[in-house]
Amino acid sequence: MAQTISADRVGGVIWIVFGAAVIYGSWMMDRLESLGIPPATAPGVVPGLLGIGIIIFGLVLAVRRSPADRPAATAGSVGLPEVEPAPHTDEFHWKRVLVSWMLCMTYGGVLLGSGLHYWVLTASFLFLHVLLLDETERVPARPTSRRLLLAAMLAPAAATTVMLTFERIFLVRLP
Amino acid sequence: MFDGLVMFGNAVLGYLNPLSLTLAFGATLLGVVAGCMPGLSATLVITLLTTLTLKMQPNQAILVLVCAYNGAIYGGSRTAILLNIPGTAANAAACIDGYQLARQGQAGRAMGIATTGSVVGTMFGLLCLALFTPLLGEVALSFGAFEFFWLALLGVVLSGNVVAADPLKGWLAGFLGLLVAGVGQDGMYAYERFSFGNVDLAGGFGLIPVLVGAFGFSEVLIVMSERFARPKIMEFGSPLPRIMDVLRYWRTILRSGVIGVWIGILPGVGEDMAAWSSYATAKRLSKEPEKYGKGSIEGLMAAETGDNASVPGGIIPALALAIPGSAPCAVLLAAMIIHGVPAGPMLMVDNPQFVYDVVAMVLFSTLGILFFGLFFIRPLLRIAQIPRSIMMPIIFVLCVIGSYSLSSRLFDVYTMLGFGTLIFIMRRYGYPAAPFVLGLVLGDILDKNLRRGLVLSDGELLPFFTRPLSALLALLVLYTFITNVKTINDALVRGRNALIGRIFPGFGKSS
Repeated sequence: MAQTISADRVGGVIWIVFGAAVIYGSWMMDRLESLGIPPATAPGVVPGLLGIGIIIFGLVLAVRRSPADRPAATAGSVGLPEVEPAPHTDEFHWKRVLVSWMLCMTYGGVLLGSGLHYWVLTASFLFLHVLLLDETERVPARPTSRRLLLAAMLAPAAATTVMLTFERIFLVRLP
Repeated sequence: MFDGLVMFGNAVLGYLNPLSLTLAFGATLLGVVAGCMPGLSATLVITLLTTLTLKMQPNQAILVLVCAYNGAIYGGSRTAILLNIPGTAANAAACIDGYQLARQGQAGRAMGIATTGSVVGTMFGLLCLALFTPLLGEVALSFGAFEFFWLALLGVVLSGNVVAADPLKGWLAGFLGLLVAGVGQDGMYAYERFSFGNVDLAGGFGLIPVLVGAFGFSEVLIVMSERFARPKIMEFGSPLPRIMDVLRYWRTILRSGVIGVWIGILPGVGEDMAAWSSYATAKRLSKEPEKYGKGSIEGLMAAETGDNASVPGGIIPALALAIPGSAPCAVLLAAMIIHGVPAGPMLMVDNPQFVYDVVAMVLFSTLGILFFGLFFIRPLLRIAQIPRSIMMPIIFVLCVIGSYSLSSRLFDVYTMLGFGTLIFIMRRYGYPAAPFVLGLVLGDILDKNLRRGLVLSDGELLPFFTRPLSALLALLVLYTFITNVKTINDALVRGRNALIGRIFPGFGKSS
């Protein structure tokens, strides 16, 4: 609970700063007076109002004593006892996310369009992702010969299917 | 009335060709398969399919999306019953009694009930879609800029209020969506907002790349953040539904259908709330409430009827008002916009046939659900066992190439990556994605109509509060805000309970 409140406080401050930046940006926008448009319809009006809304919500988030304590669209929200958790853990594994995020960003954000052939790049990404991120093993997963074989078979097959589908059927010029 | 029937007949006949039938049943099967796989939400499936159907004819593209949407909402019940893992959030209510029935060796019967509930729920919703969309469209013709502004704001506020555990975070996500929609040239004067001189930003963020990021990439990261033991499937008998189960609970089915459609129509609320509300109401009014949670046929029927009835229910405001009823509907609406379908009040004037085309699409998807639900169970469950660590990187590759294929520019891929990362972080801290998406889709409507209204009123704000319908919508927005102030809400709940107690003595005591 204490962690949630402190995270909300930090979040609230971030929203306030963001809202203030939006209001500043809206205020600095051209009001197009030279075109003779009514001031109430200037381009900055709506973003400015949204900025004010964000600041108000951010302020409440930052100063409130306790977070809203109510279930979302779940059993509890309609007055029923909560459902027993499904037989899996939903514990957050930040190492897995970090490895996955870095692989995804390197593939889509850095290497795609840099001159590397699409098929080679996609197959390499799939190979590494499948090899490094297992669901039940250590993180990153210890590559076993079985996983190596799985990744080596799956990556080229999936890359070829995606490439041919988009290039030949949807006529996309691949990056 | 008869015009509607003729148009519906034409729509059905129009889809009775090999290509359309293959697309309809193929998309329904794809939706059911995706719904079976925990981690693949209905919104993600529709978003990815939107990128794959861009080059198709509008009617065929929307056919694929509607069938996949309906199929995905149904498909999640398989894993809910057999594994106690809802395939989509909408099937969480089906876990309670579905899994208990499966543990008692009645998994086949439970799946038959779920299939029957889904089919009957969708058919009821389909009827409402055909009847109420033209009526709502006619009413909406009298709406002006003032009303549309409030309607768009109500959609975002209501969605933030319902889907988030913390409404404040839901509203913040919604307002962020509205703001992101405003980046780039504005719709009235083509003025570049928040573009910072960047040519790509001047055109604004593409709707589809942002949606793919919000529901695709962020979902990939969320799934990768969890460990998930490979599920073991228990044995099950015949899934053919028993006619007595249907006849015995016809009241529950009808009531759940009404609740599902009504919640579907409410902007941005969604199928999961429809399932929970149907389930809770069925329990409250049941003659055998003690069976709920221990394998109640009635409970499972209510949950599955409710969530599938809300699918056509959510399409009603999307077609008639261009205000989506749920997050998947928001993506569906975005796809309609991209394909040039004029969703909104003018649809019934410009292209009334399209409404009945959608009714026919829902009908075909329902037939697909019935067929695949009864005869394709074992292969579907094999697919559900594919490890998610293998599925997710392939889905990410599709997110990347799907975003890129829209206009062959890397900026769309960067947009997808940026918003995917942002929404993932926000979801980690309790900010839901659905209000963000609703804000994104409704941002243009809100912006244009607020400013149009101000032009019409010479900058006066009064007409936003004095026109009867405007005033009503403004009150609803205000009500949504103030009911989250604890002291006001407590007083309102006390008043409501006292009123219900006077009108219906004894109501609610069984729960």
